[in-house]
Amino acid sequence: MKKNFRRMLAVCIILAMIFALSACGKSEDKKEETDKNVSISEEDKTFSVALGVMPADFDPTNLVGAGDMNASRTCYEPLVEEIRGTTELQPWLAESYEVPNAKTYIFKLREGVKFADGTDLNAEAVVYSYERTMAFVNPVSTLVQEIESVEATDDMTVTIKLKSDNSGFLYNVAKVGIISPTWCKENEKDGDWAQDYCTRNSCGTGAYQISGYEEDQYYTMEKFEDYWGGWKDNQIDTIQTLIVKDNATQIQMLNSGEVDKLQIPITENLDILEANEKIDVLTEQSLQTNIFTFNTQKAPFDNLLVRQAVTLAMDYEGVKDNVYNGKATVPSGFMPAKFTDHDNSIPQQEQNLEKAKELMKQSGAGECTVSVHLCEGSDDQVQMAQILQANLAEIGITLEIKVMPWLSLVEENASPDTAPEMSALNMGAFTGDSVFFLKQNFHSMYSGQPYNWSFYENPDFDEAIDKAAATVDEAEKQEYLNTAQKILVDNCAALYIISPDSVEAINNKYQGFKIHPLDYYYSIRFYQLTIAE
Amino acid sequence: MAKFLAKRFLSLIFVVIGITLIVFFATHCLPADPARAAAGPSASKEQVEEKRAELGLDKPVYEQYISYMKGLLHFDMGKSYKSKQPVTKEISTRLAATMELTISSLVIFFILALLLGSIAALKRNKLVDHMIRFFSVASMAVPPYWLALILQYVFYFKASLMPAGYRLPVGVAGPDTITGFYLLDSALQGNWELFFLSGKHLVLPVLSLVIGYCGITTRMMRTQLLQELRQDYIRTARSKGLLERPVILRHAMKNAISPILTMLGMQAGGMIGGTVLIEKIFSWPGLGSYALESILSMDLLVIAGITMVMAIIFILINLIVDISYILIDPRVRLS
Repeated sequence: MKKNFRRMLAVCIILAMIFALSACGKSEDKKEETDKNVSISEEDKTFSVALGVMPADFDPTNLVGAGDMNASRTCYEPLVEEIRGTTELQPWLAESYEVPNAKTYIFKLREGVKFADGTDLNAEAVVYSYERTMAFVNPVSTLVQEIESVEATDDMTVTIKLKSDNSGFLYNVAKVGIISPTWCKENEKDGDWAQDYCTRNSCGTGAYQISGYEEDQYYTMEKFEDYWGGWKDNQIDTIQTLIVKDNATQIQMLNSGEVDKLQIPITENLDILEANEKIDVLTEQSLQTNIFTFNTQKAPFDNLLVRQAVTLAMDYEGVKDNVYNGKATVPSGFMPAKFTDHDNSIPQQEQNLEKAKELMKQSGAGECTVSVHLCEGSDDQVQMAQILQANLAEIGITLEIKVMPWLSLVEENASPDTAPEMSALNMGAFTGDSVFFLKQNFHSMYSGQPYNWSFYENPDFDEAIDKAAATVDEAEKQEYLNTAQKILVDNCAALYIISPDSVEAINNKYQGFKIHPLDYYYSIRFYQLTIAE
Repeated sequence: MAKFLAKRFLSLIFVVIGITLIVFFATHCLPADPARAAAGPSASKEQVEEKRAELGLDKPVYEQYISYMKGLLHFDMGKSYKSKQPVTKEISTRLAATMELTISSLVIFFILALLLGSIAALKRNKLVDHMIRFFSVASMAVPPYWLALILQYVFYFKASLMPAGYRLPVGVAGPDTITGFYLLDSALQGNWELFFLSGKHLVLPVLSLVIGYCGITTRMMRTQLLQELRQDYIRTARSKGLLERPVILRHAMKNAISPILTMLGMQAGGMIGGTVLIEKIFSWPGLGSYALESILSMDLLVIAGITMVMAIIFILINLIVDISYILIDPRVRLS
């Protein structure tokens, strides 16, 4: 009897503990789906895209990666918009704009645009959106940090004044999404500007709005019926973003037709995808240059001759063919050739081992050992470093390769003393502003901050960039940019290794997709996709 | 037993304090700046410092720890730097998914290991014994994540028999929460369509874990049972005229299982940690893959929270194992 009682008690305790363990987990409160038990993917007008990580936030002010941006840029629109496939801008929520000088931007808003909550777009909404973006330190802050004031000059006109000259500020405007102030104020909590609510909800003017999600599994966006751009019959109704954490699984899902597009590099699996008749593989030149920075404040790279020698030692064609299977361009300097402001007179990088050896002799540096620090998870950086290692061995330099987490790399590059001799950076353009692209990597104001990891401080370069930013005259700007680009090439501020092409694959049932060179790749404007007949 | 349980729960509190202390100070020693991670890669130094102050990371580490422990008393593990959501909420939404995967795998692999190990022992040196031993060795040699990729490729991509991953098909909402286990909750609510869908989505991830982990337990079960079958009391039972089935089931198996239970407790811990890659491959929205993302983004409070939760679960599972000895062996007194 006693034995049976002890056994019963043991069973009860075990069951209680198991249920306690399981009860600690509960389902997230999620938006209700309209049809709970119908799989949306069965609909013909549903576009499915696979993403590796659930966006942390749909808030337009808190965007970090490509995944965050695709959702947020779909729901929230800016005053000016990037033309797909280019770095050019077009009026969007603003039907026109004026730039009287490099500190003043005046936007005349488009009439008849509504937010998803039914309220109208007006100057007050734009002012609110900018003030909201400026209120917090977040990844988008850098785009608005130079704003001095944002004013509603009248009901449909907004004037933005900057603290200092920046003729490229319009490119930043293209990244700031406009949000409904009415909706934000209704859902605000403790003065948080509705940041908490915006994490998983949306109310912009965009063609699609967040309609549902299951944490870490998927989120959906449904078309906004009153979208100001109007609708055609052959456009998408629903976008389903599936969180697929494994790259191999994503490739399988694209091949099987379960998803229509991926957001991962596919260079290694091109043959599989190209063999599938239902998939179009698209290739475009990118706005990215992969570089190894030279710590110009640390030996031996404080010596220009050594930097020049390393630049001539690198096997650029080898990187293009072996690392990127030919889907890349050898760069001419740091600025990718796809930028319209690229100086076409600068020749492509070329290997010349004999000259490299000569320069090493002249430098007096002798045989030396340097290290290059790479970011974890970047196989292409490892391969490039291995090629460089073999090249440098021929000119008397021993290269040590070290891989580390991204944040550790950022941390050690805060100072030239802690930074290694070389660090790897895959620099892609976030905005179409070529001045900012050069400035962020080599202007002395960014020395010790992302991303001037060369600690390059050259007053001539700074002057050229500052003047390019201050002028609204395109010809003058081009001249200053050409000067700046030539300085970077002559001074070998970094090793400009390769500009990889953007390669993306999409289900060919959908037309109208263009590879966009900005926004950290894989950017999609769903509104522009149409379903083929 | 009450004294035993009280002692174990008391020791749990000290273990939690110890773990939080180690994890908290260890994560603060990492050569990466969580304020930088939260502010974004392009933030200026001033913005990073502003973020640091906002998150309280500018205070001395011991002050941050005291504040963290005060929050823990109210089950508040702070807020994720990345998503700005309460860590408790982030963990609880994912814990059920991991527990469902882990517990299903544990139960199935345990039953399978007992069955196969027993058959191998009883049919010693016959063909079935050799086959089971071969399977056990193969199972120990094959990493579960590799198996997961193969199973997915064969059953999803080639045969289109199974889904690629997730807990349910996209767009299908889970059952109302009772335990958080979709399989159990849908059965309790009588929603058999959901039950079969949940089960179907569990097949491949559970199979990867079961096959990957049951090899060693199968071998151990075989060895233990063979040892028990050689004991004098078994000879006595047979000579008293007992049928073979009660000799094995009622006598030999019970004594053979005790060390297997101990192993189960240890493997449970390994399995909880080992689900990281399985969750990644099958896009299973669990704690393992979330832990990996948090480590990569230096979300310190999430890392601390998950480590603590996993440690508590491991301790509780071993406590369950200890209590279950009573069921198996009446001689055991928990003291």
